[in-house]
Amino acid sequence: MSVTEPAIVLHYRRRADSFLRAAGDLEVLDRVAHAPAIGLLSVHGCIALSDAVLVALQGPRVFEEDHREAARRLRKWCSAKRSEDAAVKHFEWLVGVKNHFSYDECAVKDEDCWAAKVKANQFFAWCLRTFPAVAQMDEARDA
Amino acid sequence: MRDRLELRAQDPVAQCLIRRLTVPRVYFEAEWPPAAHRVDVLAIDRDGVGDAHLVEIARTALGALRRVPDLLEANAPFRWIAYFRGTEDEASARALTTLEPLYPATSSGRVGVIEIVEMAGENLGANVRVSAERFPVAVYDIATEFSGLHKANIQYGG
Repeated sequence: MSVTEPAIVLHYRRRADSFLRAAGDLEVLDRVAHAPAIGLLSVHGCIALSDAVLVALQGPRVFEEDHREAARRLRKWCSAKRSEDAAVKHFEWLVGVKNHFSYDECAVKDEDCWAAKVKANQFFAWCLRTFPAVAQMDEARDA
Repeated sequence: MRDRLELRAQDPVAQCLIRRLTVPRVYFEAEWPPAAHRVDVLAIDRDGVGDAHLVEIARTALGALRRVPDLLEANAPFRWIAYFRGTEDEASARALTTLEPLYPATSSGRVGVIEIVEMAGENLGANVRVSAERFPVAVYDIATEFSGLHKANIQYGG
């Protein structure tokens, strides 16, 4: 797989890394206290990584508020390539709980935060292994 | 036979790297190719398809510095030594101040340094003292093959 628009892909991958690592740092600091932030960073990390992958596959994206469209595009690509798409369901779950972490009146439970982090890690692992060209982009070479 | 503290330090050292990497696969006492270089901790970034990080752990700073020549010959973009804080003697303290032994003679790159700390409750932690710098080797194919063939001690994928 060749990567189109490497600088843009790297930009989104860098952002994805930043969100996921920040979620990890907050988890180490105090998971209960920072549960909504950890959840939201996990969601946005996956959105940024899906952006990186889709730009790599299809070129610059049309900005879409509905991130479920990104999930549909990932599934469509997997279907066309007969590739395993099980982790896309984690992404769909995360997109579905974004407002819960951001706006809901009810509290974010520890198990919600834990689930978001686990699903984000699994989606990241799937993306990076399924699209190694995105994983192996070099900061110095492709920026 | 390895010192028990050195063995116990493998997990905190791995956690230290995990904080800096993205869903890495981590292997303890791994034989990293091509010359079956046995390392205490091997972390392969991005679920086993990214950069390889090799770590050699020793009880003392001097012991860790003695592993540097082997690491300089290794085939991985990132290489680290780890030792217990407070074990520096005069010579190792000087070396860890100048950092001179951590650099290869003829290429870019720097061996990183991780300090292991003994905390309350006999727990161990680890922190980066000197960041590793990238050595000019590309081993993504080796890393991907290794992670496909070996069961990781820590991994995030399903």
